[in-house]
Amino acid sequence: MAEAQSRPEGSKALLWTSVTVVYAAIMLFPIFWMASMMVKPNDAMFARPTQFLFMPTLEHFSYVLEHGFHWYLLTSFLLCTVSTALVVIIGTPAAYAFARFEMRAKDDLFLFILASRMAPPVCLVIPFYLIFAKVGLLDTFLGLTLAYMTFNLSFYIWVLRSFCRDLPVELEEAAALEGWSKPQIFRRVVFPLLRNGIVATAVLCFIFAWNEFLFAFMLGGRAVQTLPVSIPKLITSQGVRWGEMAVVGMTALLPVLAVVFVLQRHIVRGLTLGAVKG
Amino acid sequence: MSSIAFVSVSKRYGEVNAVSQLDLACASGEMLALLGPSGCGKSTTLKMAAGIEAVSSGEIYFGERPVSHLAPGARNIAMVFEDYALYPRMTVWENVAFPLKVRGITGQPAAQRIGEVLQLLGLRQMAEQDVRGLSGGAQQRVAIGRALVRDPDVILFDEPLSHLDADQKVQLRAEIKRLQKLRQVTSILVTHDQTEAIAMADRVAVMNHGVLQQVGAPQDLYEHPANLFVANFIGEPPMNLMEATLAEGGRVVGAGWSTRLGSARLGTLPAGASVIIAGIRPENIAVRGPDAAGEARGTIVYREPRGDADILTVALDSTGEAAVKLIAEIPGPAPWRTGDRVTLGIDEARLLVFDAVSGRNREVVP
Repeated sequence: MAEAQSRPEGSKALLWTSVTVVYAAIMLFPIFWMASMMVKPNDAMFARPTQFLFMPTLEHFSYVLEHGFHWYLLTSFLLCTVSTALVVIIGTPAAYAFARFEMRAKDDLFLFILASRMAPPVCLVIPFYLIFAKVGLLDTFLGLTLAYMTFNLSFYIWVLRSFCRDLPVELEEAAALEGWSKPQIFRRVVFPLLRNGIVATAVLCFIFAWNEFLFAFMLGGRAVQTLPVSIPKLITSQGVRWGEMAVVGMTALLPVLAVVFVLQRHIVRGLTLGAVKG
Repeated sequence: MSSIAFVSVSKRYGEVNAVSQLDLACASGEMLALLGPSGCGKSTTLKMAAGIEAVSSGEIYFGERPVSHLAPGARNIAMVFEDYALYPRMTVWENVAFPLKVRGITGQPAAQRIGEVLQLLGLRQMAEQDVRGLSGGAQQRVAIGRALVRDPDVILFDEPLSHLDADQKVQLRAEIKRLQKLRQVTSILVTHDQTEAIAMADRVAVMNHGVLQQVGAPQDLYEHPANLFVANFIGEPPMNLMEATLAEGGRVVGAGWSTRLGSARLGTLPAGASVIIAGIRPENIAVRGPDAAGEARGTIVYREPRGDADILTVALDSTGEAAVKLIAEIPGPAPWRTGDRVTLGIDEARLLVFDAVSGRNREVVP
């Protein structure tokens, strides 16, 4: 009886597992392919029939290092970290204020903040360019940081405001009755409850900034080059350097994966916030 | 401990008057209930007392001290919330300790007070537990402990029992009342549940649309409601309210029933015929056999047995339009069934006379 029951159960589970494995394999194949290209000699790159066995080479790595791509990686990393940190520092109190306080023209102000994210980036990059050219922020690290901060701030405030709204207001009222000031309540009651939401949203902002191409390309110029901007340099007059492209591409992928893995716990909790109640 | 007084307190949100010209006092050590349907302004009133909401006009006094300009923390009040508002990620002990910690009271004196309060509330065994794992009733007891621990002048209860199961509700109701009397803390209880208000409070203030309707001991409100709203809101099943004519000599005539008011009451009523709304509680209607004497005759259209009582809905015989239906509550189990012909005895001494236009009780001035 038990066996008769478990058999269809078992075969169903097997079916699902195989479907999942096949799906994962399809999804991951390009990444495996790219990984293999990192160490593939150029003459084996597009050989027909495809060569699965080849003598691995490190020449792509040395080319990438010789041409200073590690500096682009550093630029990208600093730019994204600094701009995301600024977004969190400025955006968290702003989101809380939008969620909790009464102020004049609150809805209009909020829409204004959202609007800067709604317009396609292409529309914004030209005004940004003109303004930056005027004030001398073109081709500077600071300028690009400000640009990234601007487009991530609206997203961050928007998302975190809903996290703030989900917090029970009674907790803050109870703390107010104990004699705490608003800043104290924010720091010691609200902030600890918001932590997961902040981490989840900040990770998204970091990834947006990491993947960004257009602003970095237009506003960074030759002085501040991020990883996404540097990749097209590998399309040279002598041909496309596929191996080097694979190396840089994989390098671009790793920090994002690392961030998500390390902060996974917070992100999952952040995305399922509301569990703070009761 | 201190008394609380609201003097001409109003709260406006833009065009909306949440609370209008409220004059209300709560004596030291008293428990006052604010009762009313949702949106009647009772919670707003409580939040103004707490300082969470600002007063639009008027003044609130704690004892002799005007407080409406004070921050919540400066008023020495504690609040118990509908959904407990315990600090998550803290144990029972830490939650109760919190108000003391904020005031810099730690170590042995704090531990002793916290221990006493936990003992009082029967929370000793749970002291080290995380509050998130507790039942609703236990969580609310922790919240009450957090309120009691620092000896506040006033405790404000904002619908403290609304989220609890029926059995926990009854238990905690008695518990709160016991603690409030024991500690003699001035308390205001906001509730929409009349049973709760009547069971727990010394006096009840009924509010509707931001206006105070009547304030008094529960029994006063029940027997002498100031107007139709209070008459209808207090009591279950609700009071029967019928249109009638008050004629010379105290004769009251409605559709399908009539009675005569006792001569003692006539002096307090205006002379001359007038249209009134007559009110009678279901338990003040007697149900007799079809041939007995009485003030009205009719047919039972619905019977709701409640074990100790039967609730009968009786359609009165009438010549005109739709029949008037009266609800009678009689000790159960009674022999009457749906479809039976009955005679109703209306106790004229218990019949209330309301003005048909203003809805005020003509005899009781609130």
